[in-house]
Amino acid sequence: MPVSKRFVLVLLAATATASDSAFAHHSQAMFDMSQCLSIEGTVRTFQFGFPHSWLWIVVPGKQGGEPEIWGFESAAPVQMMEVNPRWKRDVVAKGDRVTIRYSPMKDGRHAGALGTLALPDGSVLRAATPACQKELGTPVPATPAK
Amino acid sequence: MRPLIAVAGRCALLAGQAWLLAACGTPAAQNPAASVASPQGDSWASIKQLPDWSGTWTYSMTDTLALKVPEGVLLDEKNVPMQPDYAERRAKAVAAHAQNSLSTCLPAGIPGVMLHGTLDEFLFTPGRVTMLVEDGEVRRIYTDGRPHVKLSDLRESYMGDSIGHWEGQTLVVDTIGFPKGTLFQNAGGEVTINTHLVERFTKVDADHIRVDSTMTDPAIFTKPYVFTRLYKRAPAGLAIGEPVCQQNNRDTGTTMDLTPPPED
Repeated sequence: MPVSKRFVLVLLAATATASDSAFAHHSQAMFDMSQCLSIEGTVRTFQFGFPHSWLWIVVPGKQGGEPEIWGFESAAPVQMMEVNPRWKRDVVAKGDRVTIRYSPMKDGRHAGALGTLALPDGSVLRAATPACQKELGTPVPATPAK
Repeated sequence: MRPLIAVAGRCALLAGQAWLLAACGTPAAQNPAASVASPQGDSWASIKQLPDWSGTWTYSMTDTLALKVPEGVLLDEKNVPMQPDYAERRAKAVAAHAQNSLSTCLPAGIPGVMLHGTLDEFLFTPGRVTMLVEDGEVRRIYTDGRPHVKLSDLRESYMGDSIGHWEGQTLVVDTIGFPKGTLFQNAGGEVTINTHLVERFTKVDADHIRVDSTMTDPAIFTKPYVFTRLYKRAPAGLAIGEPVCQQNNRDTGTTMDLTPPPED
């Protein structure tokens, strides 16, 4: 089945109310999905695993304070690879400078649901989470449905 | 005649509840001839006549949505014929981020496991189809003609009691005995001891297995809940892995553990 522009729009509409079940093994209620923020830092660790992948970065401290460690949750590897096959365990390396868009934790802690990851080469990968849907749309498959 | 006997047996078992009986008898009753004529995979020779489901498969929300049919996740909740009081309890549980079996890494069980984003594979042996789920869960679907376990004899399990038979190229799986606490969606409400699921697995093309499901439970649904999902062949070379939920589960049920992992 060819994926027409109309189909993509229908798909986006259908998934605009996407809750957590298709993406996560747990509720996403701790994230404020109505917000979409941006942050820059250097990669500390990428956990490409189960039940959720987590990307950890180091961000310079505010006003010369101690550097902060931030964590961003995404989906399990197969779900991420469906959205973009570039998601691999070595898609980033320690020290890579990256920019992240995310929906923050409601409690203000240093974490969020991953929306996109901008790599040092300038490419931007959408994560398989319902974060930043208003700004980024719903994650769609890299490979069109047959 | 074995398949018909099997169907008759489990329907008799459930005959005390008319609504269950109706769902139970539907697949074979509509197509008894196919049921009798179909190879049942009860011997290695018979298995050779069954469709080839080798490879690894994963639930595809996107391919399923392209079908434009109810697909059985929260995305199309408006299509779920839920009892009003059940819907209210469920919505509250979702909003409260209530701790559930999934967030604590207990097995998803049936039906939740069918929504996992993990890889699945199917093994055919005489009298049984076994579905291996990447996270370690195993569905044993008995196709040897046995009836369901009596409700009084059910042991607590996550996968319930699945009895299958082949109708041509379609595997019809009838499941009862859902454990208390298993979620009918991956969040919120739970199934009950009366929840009953009939799934029809058909390989519709080289890369897709389609599962048409009917779920009934008078405490949850106002009418049988019908939905369809597509499972697609996993990318070439992607072997079944060993994802262990406890390995990096950060959801404690009430909060998130944000302890960073050791540095690379």
